[in-house]
Formats: sequence, C-alpha cells, structure tokens
Amino acid sequence: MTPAIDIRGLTKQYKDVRAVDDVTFSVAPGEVFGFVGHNGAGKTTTIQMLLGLLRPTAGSARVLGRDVVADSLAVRRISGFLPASYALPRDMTPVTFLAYVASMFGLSGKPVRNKIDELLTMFDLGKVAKKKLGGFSSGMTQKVGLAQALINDPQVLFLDEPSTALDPIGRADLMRHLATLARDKGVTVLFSTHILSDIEDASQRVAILHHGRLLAAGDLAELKAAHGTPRMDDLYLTLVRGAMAREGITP
Amino acid sequence: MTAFLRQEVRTLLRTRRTKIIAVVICYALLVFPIAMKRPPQSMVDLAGEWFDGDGSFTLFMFAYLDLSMNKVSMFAGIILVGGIVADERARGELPLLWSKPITRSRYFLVRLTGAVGVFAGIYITATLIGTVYYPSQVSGFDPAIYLGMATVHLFAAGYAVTLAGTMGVLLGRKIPAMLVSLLLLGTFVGVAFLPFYTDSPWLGWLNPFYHGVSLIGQMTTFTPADMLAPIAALLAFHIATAALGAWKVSREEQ
Repeated sequence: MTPAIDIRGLTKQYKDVRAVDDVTFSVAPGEVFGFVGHNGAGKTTTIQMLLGLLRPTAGSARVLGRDVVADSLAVRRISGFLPASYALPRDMTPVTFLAYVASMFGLSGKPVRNKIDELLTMFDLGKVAKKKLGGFSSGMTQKVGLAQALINDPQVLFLDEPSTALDPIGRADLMRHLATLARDKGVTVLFSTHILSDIEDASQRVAILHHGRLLAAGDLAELKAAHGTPRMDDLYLTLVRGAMAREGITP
Repeated sequence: MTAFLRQEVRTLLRTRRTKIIAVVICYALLVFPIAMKRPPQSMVDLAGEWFDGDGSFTLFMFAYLDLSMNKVSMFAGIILVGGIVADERARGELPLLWSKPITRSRYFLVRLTGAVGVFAGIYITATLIGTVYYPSQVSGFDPAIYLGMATVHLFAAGYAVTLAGTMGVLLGRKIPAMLVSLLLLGTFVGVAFLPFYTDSPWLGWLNPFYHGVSLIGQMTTFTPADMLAPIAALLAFHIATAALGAWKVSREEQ
C-alpha cells in the first residue's frame, strides 16, 4: 500500500543547528500516527517541511504521493494543519473565521455554511459561534483551531501539540474525534505531542524524535516489547536516556 | 482566489476602521461646500491663473482635490492597511494563515487588492453623493468635469492604500511602516500641485498624486481619452509598488 506520508532522509540545517537529521518513516492511510519528542526535538520543523512551509536541506517527503517541495500548495490543499503556537484574529467570530479560512481553500457558499455548522456542533462551539474570538479561553481557542484544520475535509491532518491547551475532557474528546476521523472518513492523522498518555490512547504506531534524530519508529506494542517496557513513558525514557548516554550526556 | 478576495472584502467592511474612513470621507465631502462658501477673490483669481477654467469652480476642484480628498486618502490608506501582514505576525496569526494553499505573495496581494477595492467603493460612493449634492451648493459646478477628474483621482487616492500596505511588509513593523508611509504620502500630496505653480510638468512625473490631479490643467477641455494617460501611469505605480511588496513577503520566513 502506498503510504499517506512518506519521509526519506529528511534534514533541516539552520547555520550551526541541525534541527532535523536524516529522518525516515512512513504513515499508512487512515492511521493515527503519534510523533513524540521533547520541546525542540524537531517535531514542528518536520511538520512544517511536510506542509512545504520550510524547505528541507536534504531528503524528500511525499504526502499522498505529492512532493512537499515541488507541489507544496497541492499538499496543503488536501491537508489540515493546527500549529503548536498561533493566535486567532480577535475581531472575528468562529463563524466568520471559519468562513475566512474556507475561502483560502477557494471554498464558499452553502457547502461551507453547512460544514461550519457541522464543525461548531462537533467541537461544541454552537453557543459561542457569534462571539468575538478575542474573549476566548485557550481551550476554546484550541477548539476553533481544530475546527479550522477540518474545514476543507482534509485527507491528511497534521496536528502539532493539539492537546496541550485542552483540559482532560477536551483531550479525551480530541482523541475520540481523531479516532472517528481515521475510522469513518479514512483521514490520516499525524499528531505531535510530548504528552505520552495521548499517544497510548490514540496511536498504534509512533515515531520518537530526539535532538532532530529519529530514535525509533514503528508499532507501539512491538517497540514496547522489544525494549521490555510496559508503558509508553518507560519506552520513551529508555530510548532518550540511551541516546543521551551515546551522546555522552548524563541524564 | 475570488472566494478569498470576496471574504477579505467582507471582513474589511465589518471593521471599525473601514466605517471610520467612510464617515470621514463623507464628512469631508459634505462640509466642504460650507468651508468654500465665500473664498477670497484673490484665491479665485490665482486658481484661474494656475489651472484652467472659470475661477470659482476651478478653485473648488483644486481645494476639493488637494485639501479634501488628497489628505483624507493619505490617512485612509495608512489606517486601512498600515499593519498588513505585520499586524498578523505580531499577533501570532501567520503560522495558521500561511499554512493554507496560498503563496505568501498571493496572500499579500489578495489582501491588498481587497483593501484597495473597499477604499475604491467608499470613494466612488462619496463621489456619487457629491455629484448629486454639489450642483446645489457650488456655483458653476459641472458634474461631467467633476466625475472625470474624480475618476482619475481615484487611482491616486487608491495608491495611498497600495503604498501603505507595501510599506507594512517592507518594514515589517506597523508603527515604523505607518510613519514612513505618512512621510512619503505627505510629501507626494504636499508637492502634487508644484508642477502647476512652477509650470514644470516634469516635477510631477514620479509623483502619483500629481498624475491624480493633472487634469486640472485642462479642466474645460479634457476628453475621456485624456484620462487614459494619467490612469495608465497610476496603474503602473500600483503594479510596481504591489509587486515590490509581494516580492518582499515571498522571501519572508514565518
């Protein structure tokens, strides 16, 4: 089966810093894939390269067969993206903002209005649909952020730290939504996080990044078994401590 | 991209700054005949000497273009788009907006075009109000001349929007961009009539606002064909300036 996301030797070098170093992994269609790493591990840089927002220094990547450098607009057209750090226009309402984002995909009219209604219901935003975004809490803002990522019915969804601003109920809802999207609509989800319990809840397969390098990628259960670690956080700590020991850093 | 342009226009029309600009332009338009009710004869004579046509209507058009529309347009442009892209960057909105299937240069151009379009809509509405209102207020008012001159001036007034928007992306920060725009536009507006005073048209070649008011030199004789040259010059200013902004924004990192 052709992978939905196929990354080969992806590298990003900033002057003296190698943010992403020869990363290779793939994500199958309809899969919820966990992308794990501490802050600064290179997750955001990798996702930005996958959307054509940053140009790789070396390597290549394809999203549903489209090259992320040569065909970045086509990649973005079929993708949804929620950045790790962003703000929403304070003077807009969820309705006007979602319509605005839809227009950037060339979408307008009744289908967009129906989609906005669907998303407002999905994220429980109906009561605040016409309130200014400037007054929203971080959790509410994140819900609008997630809604905008789905406005174009994406085939691939890139979520960068999507659960960070959410409360436990919001996080549980998010994981449920991701599972539903993958199962019912065949959406491929790549989500990055450093909240390890989210990965265990949502993903069967993961990639673990440390200082820009890939420490492991594959089936979560197999990785845990291979390293004799019963839980995700044990697996992560084992791999990261091993990498730090190889780098000569005392944990 | 028409959906995005439509949405941008809708969004701009809802903003407070657009409403303020509309009110200010309409206010300037409506109170102007009152301010110009009894001009000193020396001014009427000077207007007839510098420009073309009957002194009182010429003076009215000179004052209308210079004191009213030029100055208002200058501030309107800066207020409308002074912080384009720079504002979104400062507020942290760009990572999300620039992840959509649109190039950065196109994002800038669509937003700029939307702002110019909104401004043009306000300007045209105000001009049409003037066409109805001024005949009863201004002696010797000629609607055809007024409309012809306002049509050309629209492109100069709109240039204030294009320049202010481009400065926003060239300088990257809102306040410095607004100040530089104010300085440049103030200079352009300040010397727009200089070629008439000195009888040296070349002094205005590089000044969009001179092209915007240039028909005042042939007020009683110009034909629609005479409007084409200044409009073409102004379109070239718009295109060159917007292209500079698009080039700059396309090279930016988030």
